[in-house]
Amino acid sequence: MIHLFFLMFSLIAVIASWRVVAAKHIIHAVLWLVVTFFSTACLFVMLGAEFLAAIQILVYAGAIIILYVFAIMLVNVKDLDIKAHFHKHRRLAKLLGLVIFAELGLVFLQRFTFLQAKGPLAVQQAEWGGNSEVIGRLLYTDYILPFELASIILLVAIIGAVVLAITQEKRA
Amino acid sequence: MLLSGLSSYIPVLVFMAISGAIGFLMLLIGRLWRPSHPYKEKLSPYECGIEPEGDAWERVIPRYYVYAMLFLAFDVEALFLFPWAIVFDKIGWFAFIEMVLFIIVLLIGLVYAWAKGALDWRY
Amino acid sequence: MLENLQRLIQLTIHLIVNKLVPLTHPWGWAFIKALIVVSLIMLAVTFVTLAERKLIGRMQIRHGPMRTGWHGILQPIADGIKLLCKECITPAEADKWVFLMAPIVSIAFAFVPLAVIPFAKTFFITDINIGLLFILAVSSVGFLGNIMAGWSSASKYSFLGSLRALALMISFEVPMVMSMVGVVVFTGSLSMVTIVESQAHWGWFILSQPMAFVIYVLCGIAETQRTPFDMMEDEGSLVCGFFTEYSGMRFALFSLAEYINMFLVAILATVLFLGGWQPPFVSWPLFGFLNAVPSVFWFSAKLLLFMFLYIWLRGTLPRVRYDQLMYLCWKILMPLALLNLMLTALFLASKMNILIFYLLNLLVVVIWLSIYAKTQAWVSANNQ
Repeated sequence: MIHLFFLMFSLIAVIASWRVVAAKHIIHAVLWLVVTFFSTACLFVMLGAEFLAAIQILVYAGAIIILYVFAIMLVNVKDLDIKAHFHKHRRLAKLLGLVIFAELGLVFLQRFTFLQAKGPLAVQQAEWGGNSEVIGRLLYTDYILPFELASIILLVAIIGAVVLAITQEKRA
Repeated sequence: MLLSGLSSYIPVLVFMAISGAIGFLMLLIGRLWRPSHPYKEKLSPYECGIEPEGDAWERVIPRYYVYAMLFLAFDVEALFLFPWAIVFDKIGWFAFIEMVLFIIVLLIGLVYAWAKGALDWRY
Repeated sequence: MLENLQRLIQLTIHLIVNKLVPLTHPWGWAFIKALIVVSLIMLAVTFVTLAERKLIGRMQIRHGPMRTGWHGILQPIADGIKLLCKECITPAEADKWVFLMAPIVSIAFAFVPLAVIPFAKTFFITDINIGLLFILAVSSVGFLGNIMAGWSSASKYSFLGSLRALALMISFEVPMVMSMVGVVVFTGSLSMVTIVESQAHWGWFILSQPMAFVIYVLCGIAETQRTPFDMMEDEGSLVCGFFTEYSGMRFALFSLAEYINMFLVAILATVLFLGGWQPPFVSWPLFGFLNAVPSVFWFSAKLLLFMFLYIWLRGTLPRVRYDQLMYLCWKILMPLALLNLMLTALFLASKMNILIFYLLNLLVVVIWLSIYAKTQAWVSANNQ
């Protein structure tokens, strides 16, 4: 049963991400990307990482996609000759694809040994009642420094957005 | 009554299937009755009765993009708050101080955006 | 007596269902429950549309629908038949598949969050660990139907309407999420059932989180695009917003999705702040007899009260300007939500008595209102 679901969701994810790359219109690509995010979130749920699944949908499908949509609306896509840009970087794309496939091959050869579930975390998850609580405990005790650094990174993002807005407004 | 693990998600899946099917079904039922007599004027985009002019997919002002960026930053912040809220009473004062620091750093961002006028919607 | 009746009904349903579908399998039971919820919500939506027209008529000193049935009681059915028989137009330049999928997507995402809502003491489709986050996640993707419709129609009004609605929705989502965190700090869990049950211990969260409640209500109205915040349906400048080009059943699906979203906001307000299916004064032994009333009654009473608030606001307030809305969201609600969160955390960390906290909250609200009144007086004096 669980294998069937895994097969279904991963198949949807693969097909959708293929459509993202192959879609003729950029908005279609964005819509297929949402499908990819959803099926990936379903896979996360199946791994017991429910919190991560919710974050995946909220941040990626909910916020980043909006950013994409506005970015697309910002430049008139019809003006861009997408095909020409597509062919310009063909050699680079081939190289990158080769590298990624080599990486995937390595992962397969190692039989995912480094991805095995760590014992303590699974135990903690059972004891503390749920994935989000485990993440909370770890994030706010052991990983406090990365957490506070995240706030600095978010601050940089905000300031970047504001500076962008002001320069664009002055130009307009 | 928390069902254990994955089995609590099966009803969610069932519900998703049903709610997706409802839209399809309602449109299908309508198909049996409704007429269809298209002609050129009817199929042109609505523009208050005047001949449509120019392309609908125009470029929009960059302000929308800036709001999306601000939203992204604050949305991620708000999501960091959820695991914090869950474990808050187990960690206590330490968690409080952590979160105050976190929120203060982001408040600086909000104040900066405010002071620079990025939050005013101008046309 | 009533409890027994409830149990009897449950038992009969259980037996019938057991004969039809094997109940040991979780799918069958979930399917039946989901069907019940979906059909009840649809029924409720049709009659809320009627109630809205009648009530708004009352507020504007007219009758509202009167012709169909006794005092227009059959109006929703007539509307349904009319919409079913109308022609569905697909504009010539539209992106056909996206155009067709948009209403289906928008209604599907409107329904899905209902899967984790506890409607009564023993009736909920499922209870997952991340209930509240699940609702937030699914409803945050609800913009998809909106943007699909706006973009694929190839019409300027649809396009601009969807963009405006989108910018508004994302802005108001941030203070809304932050106001919910205030509740989660108390419950320590995201499961909706736990959130309702813990209100027996803490009292309804509207008492300990009044600011969060106000912020939530304002954001909820903005999220569902209702008057006074209905920027996307700004008839004066945008005709009908993102579904300008839709007609017939497709249009009906959009407005159905809109009403279900309203219901969702009302349900969340009930569950998070008004105690869900709990009767009032739940922790006082004097009012124990209120427990005899079936819990679904309390739930729907609070829900309908909230829907009435929606209709009342629509009948009373004029539309707000777009820049004023953005001002409200980013410069008033955001800092207030953060302030509320800090106060709540401070209270919980210091293990203060809950009654003192109620008073403290009341004080903060009074101070806030007086400051607001002062600044408004100052602003209007300066304008003159």
